Parts: sequence; C-alpha cells; structure tokens
Amino acid sequence: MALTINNATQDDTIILDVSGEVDLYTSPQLRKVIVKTVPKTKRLLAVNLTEVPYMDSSGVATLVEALKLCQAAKREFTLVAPSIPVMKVLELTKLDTVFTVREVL
Amino acid sequence: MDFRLNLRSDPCLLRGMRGLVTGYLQQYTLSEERCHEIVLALDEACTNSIRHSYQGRDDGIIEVCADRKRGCLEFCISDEGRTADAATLQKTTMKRRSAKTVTPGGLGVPLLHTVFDEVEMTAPGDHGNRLILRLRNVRRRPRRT
Repeated sequence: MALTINNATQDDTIILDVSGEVDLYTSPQLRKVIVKTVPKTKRLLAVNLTEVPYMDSSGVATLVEALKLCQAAKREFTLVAPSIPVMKVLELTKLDTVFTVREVL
Repeated sequence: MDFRLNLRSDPCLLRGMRGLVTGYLQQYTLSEERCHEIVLALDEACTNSIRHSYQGRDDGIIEVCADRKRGCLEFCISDEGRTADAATLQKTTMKRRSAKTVTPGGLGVPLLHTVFDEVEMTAPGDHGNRLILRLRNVRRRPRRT
C-alpha cells in the first residue's frame, strides 16, 4: 500500500490528507511534502491521519520535525483525527500531549 | 524455532516483515493492541539495524526469528553490520516531553523496553548485533479440532 498525500487549502489553512502506512520507507516522502508545505502555510498546517493504519517512530519523528518547522515559522500545526494505531504510537512514545489534536477541522 | 526470516536491509521490506509477525501473533491470546505494540517494537529493532548497523545500506541481511520457550515469546533480531555500543541499548524510560523541548529521534530504544519484558543485546564475534526480545507469560490459543 503506497503512501498518498493530498493537499488542500482552506482559507489560511493547508490540509495534508495522508493515506497509507508511515514507516522508514514512506516517512521520507511525508517529510519532503511537509518541508515544502510549511513555507506556503499562512496560519495553520493540518495533517489528517485518519487513513493511516500504521506509523512507526520514523513517522512520529517526521511529525515532530513538522511541529518544530511550524514553530520556527510561527505557524500552527495540528493533527486531525489520528487513527487508533497512530494515537497508540504517540502514547507509547509519550508524545500524545505534545501535538495539538483535533477530531475535525 | 517457529520462524526464521532473512530480509535485506531495505526499508521497503519492513511491511512484509510486519505482516508475517502480525499473522504469527494470532496464535497467542494477545489483544489486538498488544499485537500492534509487538509488531511496532520489532519494526523499530529492524529499523535500527538498517539505520545504524548498516548505516542506510540496503544490501545487508537482517534475520528475524521467533520462538516460544517455557511460556516466553522470544524474538531475535540479528545483523552483520556495525556493532552497536551496548550503552545505547541500556534500559531507558520514555520521558514525557513538551512541545517546546521535544526533538525528533531517540524514540526506538525506549519503545523496545516499554513493550518487551526483557531486552538483551549481544555482539556475536567481532561485528554484527544480536538483539533478543522476550515477553513472559504468553499463552497459545486453544487449537480448534
């Protein structure tokens, strides 16, 4: 199952809809998209993780990097409706309280 | 030995490894959540082999074995890459961080210790790594007749 990332703009928000497993093989693809997207973000970068059935620590590290990039650019960063496996890995790595998480945007 | 899997140190092969382990764990009375944690931890161990032992090369071999011994589920992940410093696999607890202080990285090893009851690393010979991960008190599901 390849990783697909679609992006949409809503006013001052860019939404990345991620679909597929995020691991050492696919996390570089997500990272590349995020690095390109942060400079284009006016206020908020939202990553929708509803359709991510698996994420490992490389995926989590990518999200952390996204958070730091947004902080440096004074932009907001939020995770939208993370799947249960994604929430689980965030809880296991004790990063579940680091990110802003919303069920809907 | 329940299974022995040799895979090239190519990240694209990790998904297949996860699928095999997920299927293997179905025979035990482990919750879905617990199975996911175990698969995640094994994925982390293989990722460490790729990243650190083989330093990103995709032509190394990682061996993943599984067995059940005396009520313990034991996984062994071996590679022939650069031998890790034993100190890097010392038990560390996952610390809660804040959005201001969090940094990417350093998540894999604490995760191994969180998921498994025992984590043991040895260096067989003058190179390579052998990581043994054990879960105690694991029971098989009754077989259907």
